[in-house]
Amino acid sequence: MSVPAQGSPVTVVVVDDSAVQRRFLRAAVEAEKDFTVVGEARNGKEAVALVARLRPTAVLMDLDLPVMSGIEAIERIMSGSPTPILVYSAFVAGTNSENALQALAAGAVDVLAKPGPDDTGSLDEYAAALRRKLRVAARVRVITHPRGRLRGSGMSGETPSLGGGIRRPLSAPPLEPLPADGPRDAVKLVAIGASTGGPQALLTLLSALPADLCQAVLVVQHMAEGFIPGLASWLDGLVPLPVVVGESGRRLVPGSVTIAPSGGNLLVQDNRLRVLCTPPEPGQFHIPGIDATFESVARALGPDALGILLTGMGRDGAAGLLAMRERGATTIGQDEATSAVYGMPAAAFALGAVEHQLPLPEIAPALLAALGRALA
Amino acid sequence: MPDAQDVTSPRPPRTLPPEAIAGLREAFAGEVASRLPRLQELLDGAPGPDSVRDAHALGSSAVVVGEPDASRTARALEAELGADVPDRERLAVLVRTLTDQLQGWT
Repeated sequence: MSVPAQGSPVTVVVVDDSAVQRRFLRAAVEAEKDFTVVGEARNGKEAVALVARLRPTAVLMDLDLPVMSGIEAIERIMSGSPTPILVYSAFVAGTNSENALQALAAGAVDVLAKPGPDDTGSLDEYAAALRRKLRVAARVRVITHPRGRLRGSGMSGETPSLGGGIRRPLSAPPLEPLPADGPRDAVKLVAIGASTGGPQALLTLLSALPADLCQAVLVVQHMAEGFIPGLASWLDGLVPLPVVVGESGRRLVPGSVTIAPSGGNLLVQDNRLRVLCTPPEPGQFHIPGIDATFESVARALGPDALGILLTGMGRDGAAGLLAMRERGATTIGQDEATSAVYGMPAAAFALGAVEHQLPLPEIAPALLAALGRALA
Repeated sequence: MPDAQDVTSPRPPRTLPPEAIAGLREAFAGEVASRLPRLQELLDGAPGPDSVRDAHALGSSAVVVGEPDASRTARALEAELGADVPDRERLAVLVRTLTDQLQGWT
């Protein structure tokens, strides 16, 4: 689908089995002049049909739906009529954060928890937050997600691989062939940054890394407070390497994946891979910050690190990846065709920070080649 | 249907047009009318196929119309229904409490 220009009308399909919620969402969305709710669905099956027929700019969807679950509906929409989906559900907060990760992995762009009885804000504030997220989601250029088709063929348990993107690849060809100067025997750390579309991309990338990897892997994923433990737990159950949330003062362990916690930045302090959690910088927009981590990796490890910047909106990570490249690290950026949002990797590419620009499925093989490993 | 009220958080929407707020309240009354009787059947028998969804929907919707106490009760009911072995006595207490809290909407 094409991305609406800034200021162009945003058409929305609302999906919820509760009439109260549908009315609330319609009123909340249409409080802004350029937003129009063009359709309402009461279950997942209706949603899939309605999105295919109306082709809205964005979808606002609950997860707990009758007839067809929200997760299955997301997969089918992303397979047949790719549309930015913002999940709005009571089942994504706190102990239910794994549902949020499942929704993001299925292709949803973002999640927002429904207000509960003990939340302190007004519903007007929720409505405003919802419109802000919807406006951002509506500008995401989504790609076809194959899992809905896999589900139909009985292969839904397999790790999804992105392919068949509906967006044209960047006109610039991939940069230098990889490995550029032979395997990097001394590489101790693989640092990965991701934002919108990141959980799905991380699953694809980390699933292809062997359990006996000799390097530590550090992941910085932009995510709202409270969702990182769910991300770690969700990935831990699906990828060969153990996945944990980073803690200040700990060391990164070779053969494991550490995810930066929410609430601040995770810095690598020295070449023994000790990490330090620091509060966010004043005015820092993305938390945890990818630039802060990548810059610390550049200082601590220089050429003994490898940096990967995946899909995401904005430009966080671009300057950090450049710092890594300038200190001699191998750097990889996800290409446009397989990025849910070609923002951060594009900014890095424009800065000259990307040594190798690759489609998502080719990043793990390239990474292992750079480490002198064959793909498992 | 009770009057729009000042309640503890989250506060009901104020900036929505009056007709939208009226529509929300009307829809909630309809939801109570359709879902609460199904939950009340728990007093006499086993949970039905829609019991958890009914409790969940009332829990989320009650917040929107400024009924946080009913929302808490509905969520507790939802959690109890989701337990491996729901406590029937507790289910009954929660259903009765929810019925009282939503009395003005029936």
